[in-house]
Amino acid sequence: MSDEQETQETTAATVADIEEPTAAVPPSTESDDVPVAATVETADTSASDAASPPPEPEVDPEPKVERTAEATPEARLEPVPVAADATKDAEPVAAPSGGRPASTHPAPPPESDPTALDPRKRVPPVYRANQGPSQSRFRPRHVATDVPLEQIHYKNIEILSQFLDRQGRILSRRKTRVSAKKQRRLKTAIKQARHLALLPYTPSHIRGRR
Amino acid sequence: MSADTRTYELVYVLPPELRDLELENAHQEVLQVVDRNDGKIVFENSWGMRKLAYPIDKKTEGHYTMLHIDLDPSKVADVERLLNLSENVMRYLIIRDPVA
Repeated sequence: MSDEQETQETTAATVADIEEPTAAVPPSTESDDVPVAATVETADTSASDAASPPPEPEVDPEPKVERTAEATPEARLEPVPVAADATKDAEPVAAPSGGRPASTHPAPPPESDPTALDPRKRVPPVYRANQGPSQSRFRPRHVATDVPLEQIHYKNIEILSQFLDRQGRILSRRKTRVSAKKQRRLKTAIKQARHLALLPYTPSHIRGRR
Repeated sequence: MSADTRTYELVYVLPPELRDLELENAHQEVLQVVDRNDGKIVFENSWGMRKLAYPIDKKTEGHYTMLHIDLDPSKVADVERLLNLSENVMRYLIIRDPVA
């Protein structure tokens, strides 16, 4: 109990000068049990609360130091995964695929996620974006799509010539919008007509240049 | 069209410089090729002189003639061979099952 009295005296005495008695007194009294740093901390942390008996501050300050030491790395480590989780949650799709440290790279997970989870939601807008101009570009220019199949033969040059472009090339089915069967007949008919010189392989103004 | 024959459509192009007798001889040459292979001419149609879509042997026109032939399928290759050997025939085309 003499220790308590001494500490109380020191605390009371050291209202003006805190450092000197605390540094001076404890090593003399508590040199066996308490390390120096602990006693200094007890005196520093609580001048008024230090009225508690010395064995308790012996126990407390050490784990406090340890806790603070542990708490700071935890605090340093924790906000990073929390931030990563927040970014993952903030992204539209939940991230089961995110084995990555995806917080630094926000771009790859949205690419990998829709394809893995539901490709139908992400793909259509891209597909529409590509198809928008293409529809206008490849709208069927030839109304001869309704040509009866019987009329597609190599002698019917008037019809066959509608399926050639200005260079004499056979128009693709994407442009002609003809059924596959008719397009096949058109192909053979045009090639037969070319063989007989009923249709040109290439336009004359190009052929004449040498 | 019996069981062992098919109907084929033959179109051949003869040079434009051929005149009356020469042209007739050229036609007879083709008909002999068909006849030698037991072909039977069902239909004949002359398209007359036509302008070629591109020059063939420096020629810009040709006499077009179309025949429908009943022919043994195994003889088609020989008909083609003889037409290839012909000096007069500039181009020919044999297709199966003529539509018109």
